Amino acid sequence: MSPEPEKEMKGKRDKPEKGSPVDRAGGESRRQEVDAAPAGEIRIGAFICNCGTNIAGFLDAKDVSDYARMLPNVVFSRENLFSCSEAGVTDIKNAIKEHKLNRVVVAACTPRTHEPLFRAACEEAGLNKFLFEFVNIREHCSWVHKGERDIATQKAKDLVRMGVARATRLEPKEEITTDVKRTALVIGGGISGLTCALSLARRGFMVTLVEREKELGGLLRYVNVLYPSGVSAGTFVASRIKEVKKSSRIEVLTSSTVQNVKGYIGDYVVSVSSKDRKSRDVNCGVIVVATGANQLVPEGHFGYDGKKVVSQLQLEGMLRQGKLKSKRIVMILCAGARIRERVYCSKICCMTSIKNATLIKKTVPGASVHLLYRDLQCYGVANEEAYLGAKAMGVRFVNYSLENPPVVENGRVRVSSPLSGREMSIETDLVVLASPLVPREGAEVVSRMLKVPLDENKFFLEAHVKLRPMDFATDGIYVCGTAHWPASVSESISQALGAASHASIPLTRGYVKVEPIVSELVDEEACRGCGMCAAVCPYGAVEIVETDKGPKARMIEVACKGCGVCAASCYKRAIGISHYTDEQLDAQVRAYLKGDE
Amino acid sequence: MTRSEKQKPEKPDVRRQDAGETRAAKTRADEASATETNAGKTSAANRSVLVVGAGISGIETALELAAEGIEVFLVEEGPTVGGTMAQLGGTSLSDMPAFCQLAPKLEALRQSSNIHLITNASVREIKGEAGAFEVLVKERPSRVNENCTFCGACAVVCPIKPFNTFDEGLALRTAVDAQNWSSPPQLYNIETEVPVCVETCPANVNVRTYVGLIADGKYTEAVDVVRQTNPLPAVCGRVCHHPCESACNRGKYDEPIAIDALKRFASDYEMKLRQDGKLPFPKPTKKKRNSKVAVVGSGPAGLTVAYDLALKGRECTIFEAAPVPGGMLWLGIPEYRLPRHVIQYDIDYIQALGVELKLNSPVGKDPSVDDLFKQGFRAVFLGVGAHQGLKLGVPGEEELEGILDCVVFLRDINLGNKEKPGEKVTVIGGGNSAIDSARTAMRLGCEEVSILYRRSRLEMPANSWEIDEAEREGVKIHYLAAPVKMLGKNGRVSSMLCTKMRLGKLDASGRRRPIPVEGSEFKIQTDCVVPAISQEPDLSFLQEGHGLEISKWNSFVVNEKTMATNRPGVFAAGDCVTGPATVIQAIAAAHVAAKSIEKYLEESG
Repeated sequence: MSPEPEKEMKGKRDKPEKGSPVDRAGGESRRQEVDAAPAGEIRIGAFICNCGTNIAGFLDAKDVSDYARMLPNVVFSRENLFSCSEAGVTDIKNAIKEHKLNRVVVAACTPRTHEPLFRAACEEAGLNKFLFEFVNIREHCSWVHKGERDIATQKAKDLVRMGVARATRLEPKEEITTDVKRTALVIGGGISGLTCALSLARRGFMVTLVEREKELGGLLRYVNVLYPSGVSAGTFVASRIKEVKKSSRIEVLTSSTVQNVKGYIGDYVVSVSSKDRKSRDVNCGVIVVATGANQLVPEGHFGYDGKKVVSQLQLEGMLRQGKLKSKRIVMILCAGARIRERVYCSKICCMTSIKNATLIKKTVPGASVHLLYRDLQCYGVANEEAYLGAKAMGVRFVNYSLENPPVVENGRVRVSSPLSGREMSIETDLVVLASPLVPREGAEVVSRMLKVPLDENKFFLEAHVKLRPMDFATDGIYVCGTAHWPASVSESISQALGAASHASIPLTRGYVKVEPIVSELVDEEACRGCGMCAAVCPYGAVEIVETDKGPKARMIEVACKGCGVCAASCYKRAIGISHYTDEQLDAQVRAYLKGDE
Repeated sequence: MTRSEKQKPEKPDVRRQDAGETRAAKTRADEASATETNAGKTSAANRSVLVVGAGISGIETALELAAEGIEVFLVEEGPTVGGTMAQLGGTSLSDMPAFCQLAPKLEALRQSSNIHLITNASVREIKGEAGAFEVLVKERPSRVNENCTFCGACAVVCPIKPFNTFDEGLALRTAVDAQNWSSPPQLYNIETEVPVCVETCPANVNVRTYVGLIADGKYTEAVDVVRQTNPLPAVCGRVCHHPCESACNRGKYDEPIAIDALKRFASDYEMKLRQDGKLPFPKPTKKKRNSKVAVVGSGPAGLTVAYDLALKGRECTIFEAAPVPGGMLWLGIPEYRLPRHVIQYDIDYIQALGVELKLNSPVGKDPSVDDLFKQGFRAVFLGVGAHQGLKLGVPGEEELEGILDCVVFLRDINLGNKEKPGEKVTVIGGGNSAIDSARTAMRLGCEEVSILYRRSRLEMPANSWEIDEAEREGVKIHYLAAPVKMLGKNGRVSSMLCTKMRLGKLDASGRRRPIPVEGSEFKIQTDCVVPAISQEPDLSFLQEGHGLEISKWNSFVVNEKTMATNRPGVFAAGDCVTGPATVIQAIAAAHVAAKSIEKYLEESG
């Protein structure tokens, strides 16, 4: 790549060195100075994306582009049909070179998906990627003002004007690089945790596996056989446990819980306390959450008593121990699921019920099985075949509705089926309730410690359903298995391997890069070391240190997420956020207020 | 890591074969779980993974591996990556357009120096085992070279507009296309899929292009395109059995494109221009020294070889035994189907290129093939056709008069004899020669003309439109009937004993085998029988000791890939190799022969 323009520009521009104190008291005068004449010439290129018709269908993109060209410091502007396409990106790169642009503004969609792309385009054209400003005129404008073309166009102009104002004040930045400790901590010793730990160990990383129970194996210890292989769940999980125990790279801590988590990707310190041992700190680079789920004990549903009316997991136990005596079995699906208190479908109960119904039909001579369901989830070829197989074997499938649920009486189940329009009364000596998987009670504690979110059902919430399904928004923490959402054994294993693969990326590299959008102590003089910032920081990224000038705040850059809480709480205005400086935001606000003048 | 550290890894072990069409990627698979390596200490150089398919799963896998520092070969069947997801509007569980979710992945893919993207390619062979696979990858040529700047100007002018498969055929695209211009690689690509018409044509005449040109009103340009692979456009516009048209996809919708008629029209248009002096004939090509080739026979095969070689700068002389040129075109096909001036026009064009045509000049005994070599011809092409009619093999056939083979009959007529062969003419056979003979007999004014065919109409090899025309002209066709014996009076055939047939199981030709029905004999009154059951080459013209290998069907034995006979420098193609076939098949085989002759001439200095 030709000469590095950002370096050239650094020289031209009168910019304080990174980390050097800036006179906050004189902030006003400094802003004046920038407004008056930056030392180097600012050359902004603005690109207005049509997003096909997503944007151009609802506002006049050409008008916005023409408007952008009139704005101060803008030397080039144009529309693109799709800025994110190869052609669009090439356009931007070419314009940077041809027009000697040193700031780029793209007005398009969301930075969540596309900022890395445009930043990379800038970088490839030799421009520091932090000299790029993204204006969202799709989610923030065209989509919310459909049918109001003029207003949408005007708002897009406002947004672009604000973006240009901020871009003028952008400064080149370097990413923060930090070393990664090549060890992992896996929380949870069920099939997901075991698989993930093994996969990481096989890649050569040291793994600490923390399990709350005395034994490894999780929920599978209570399951009879696995579907569709017919393998004994106990044997299966035991072989995994054996492998884990044999591995020289995995340290297993049973009867142990995570008490506290400090640090950040590459350098987490996790306190693990144990019943039989002293609590200890584990230093690791990444953390995988595989805490699993529980089966809901269906108390209060369909007369559950644990004897004549049991849960599916209890049935598994009976089958495993050969203690099933009943011959007339009724299974009721969606027991405690897809109701007002718990709206979600647990996804695996249908197949578990079909598996057990088939097994009973096969092994208990003369057994009758009725399976009462609301809807059946038999996705996939093997599952559909199993369903048809069960039907062929004589398992009776009876539909019921939420409004008119089955009634379990002494030795009978009454159900009215909307499909047949009849009320049936089925004689039974065992009722089995298929109840859903529910989050572990400890999930909330783990979520708070790791500062990762839960969804409305208290399962762990991934960073993005499609783009980052095994990641959390917090770097270096991953999720797999039923902690994330009800999943079958094979799905849990796939997820565990996926999480291991993803977690291996920073571990293999040995370093990570972090966005330099972090808090900065911009005015050390003003800081009085009051500690307010450290108290409010959700990431533990601020600490108070003694200096020769007294106690002062110190930022741990790599742990900082740039949320700005510290800066907002600092009454001395000693803290600022790099790349989102007061000055930059101020310029944006002023640009908005200036209107079209 | 800064930008400068981000270096391209060492050139991967990728070697190209067959002019860039095939490449082999040697890869050491890294199912990392299988190799107990110490993290961070492994070198990226010997660790690589090949990922087949570049949809979202393939891309994600490649990115994941690449992020760990593993070298990835991402092989994609199509011209661009992104798979089905790139085609979707949105996906479930997310309100973002599908492509917006994909775009950052594509960009990451493009930027990763660890990923070698191989598009338009498929995996052909996998050798070795985990840890050391060797994978053979076949790459289809993109037909656009690396100078492409993706400006798109080609697509604007491209006249060929197939369906756009990327949008599931909702619209048309251009033949030169980037498929999905938002996905890498940023390359235009000309789809190499051969249209069904071109594929079906034995000579692979570029039908799509010339029909497109005709649609654009570029008639002479269209004929030029035909001549690239078919030196007889005017002839073929009339007598080709046009499998292209029968296979045309449009036929599934309503009617096929009238390819044959379009070609006839365009070549007639061109012919008229030339005859009016508005379009010059081509100038003779510049001939190379010491490049004389003798072509024996001026049928479609001979003409094609001479044409191809003349264009290559070879000096060709065609030796024709008959007083007229064109072989079967002139001697076999009646004038009403193929006017003589049309044959002459195509031959004129070929002669204009500097091909010498000698009529009444049989080769075989004097001069012999050896003599030709002595005269300075460096290669000899034999395209003598199949002019010997096969015998019926029934009693009475040999002794009686009035039994006239169709080849002889048609030749006589085509050389100017207009005498009726008889009044009640019976033609035996179901091919085009049989129909030609019957219709010719009708035209001569014979009282009654009938055709006897041993199978049903469905199995008749003659063009269906020819059968229709024959019936319309009054030819009676007896299906499922075969001659058993010729009966005569005064040494001349007077009637024929026939048997009815029924159809049995399928035979080797895929048609149902005719079986005589016992006791179903019947008599047909006739005074002239024209057997038109098949022909074979007549190789009696060759002198003793010619040294050429002859098959049991009396045809030349050649190497199918080169059309070379067992004698160095002697090549053969057309009916004299295959037995009776079509014009376009002869042309196709002759192209192969011409190519080998050219190669032979080059190699033998």
